[in-house]
Amino acid sequence: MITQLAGFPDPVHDAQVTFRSLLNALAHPGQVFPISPALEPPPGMTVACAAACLTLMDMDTQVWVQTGGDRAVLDWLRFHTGCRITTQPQGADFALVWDGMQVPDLAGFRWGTDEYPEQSTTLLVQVAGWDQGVEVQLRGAGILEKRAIAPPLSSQFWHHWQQMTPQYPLGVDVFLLAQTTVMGLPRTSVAEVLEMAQGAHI
Amino acid sequence: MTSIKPRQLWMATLAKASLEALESRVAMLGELPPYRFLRPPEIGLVMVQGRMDGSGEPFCVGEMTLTRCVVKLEADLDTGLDVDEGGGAIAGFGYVSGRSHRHAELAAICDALLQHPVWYDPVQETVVEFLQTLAQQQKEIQQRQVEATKVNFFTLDRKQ
Repeated sequence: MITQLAGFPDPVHDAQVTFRSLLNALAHPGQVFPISPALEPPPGMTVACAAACLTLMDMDTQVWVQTGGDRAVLDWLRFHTGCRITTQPQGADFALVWDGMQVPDLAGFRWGTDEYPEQSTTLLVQVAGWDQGVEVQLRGAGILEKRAIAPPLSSQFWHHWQQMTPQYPLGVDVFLLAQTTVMGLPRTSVAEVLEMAQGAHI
Repeated sequence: MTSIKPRQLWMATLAKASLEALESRVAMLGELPPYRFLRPPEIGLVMVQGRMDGSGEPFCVGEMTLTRCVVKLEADLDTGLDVDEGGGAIAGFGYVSGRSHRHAELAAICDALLQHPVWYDPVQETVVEFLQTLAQQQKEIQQRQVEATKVNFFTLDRKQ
């Protein structure tokens, strides 16, 4: 069925502003940047996530969508971006995850190859906010020394993240998308889970 | 959903009509129901493919400029007839050659109205049938002009 919702009100400038925020987010891991176009997102999707989809996806991208989403989202994605929906996470250029507490194992997605590490999956993960999760300290490119963050991601996710980051330059990049804000988590960011570390000392 | 064939016909008629003719006929419809853009008019390129002699291997003729637009009719509370059988609001598509935003918009509105049970008749009579007659007349004029300059090569030696 054809979607009932419009896309960006001002396609060129909204996409450019959103793209700049996404670039900034990856350049400054762990920092929060605004994405707030006047956009009506499909049910179950945040404004920031919808804007990121409209900005990044086109008819050449394969998108994997986590089950549990509204069917209207698929119609909306197909109509406005022309992207292909795939059921194989290994073949996906982008992956849409509805809830930060239920991110699948990162090893299931495409990590790129030694020759083409950029041909990897980029995850768009929706989160409820920025402070309800386990506290994690990030180090790596784009961070002066270290930066503490606590987005609502499961400890399982950080476990998978810690298994992935030593494989650099292979790996996936993650955008965390709240209602109107975004945080980037590139594969260069090494995470140290503080609560886990404290537990180890006892 | 209406069957594919009539919709193809009216979409082709609307797309091939001249903007002036389309604009003047749509103006005769009076006040149109409210609508909004699902996809505002946008200009792009499409690759046109052809076949040599209509039956050969397909090849790319070249790119052509195309403007497309999708409108959605706003809910019509008076008639309650704003939904199609699938339960969704009526969406009209306009794909026209060239760079005219207005042409794509008008074609999309007419396509949406032609799917509307109340608007079908007036739009069909005022806009589509008129444009079809116009196109037919122009085709005949052109055919006559071509016919007048036709040359028969009687002297060609046709070997079987």
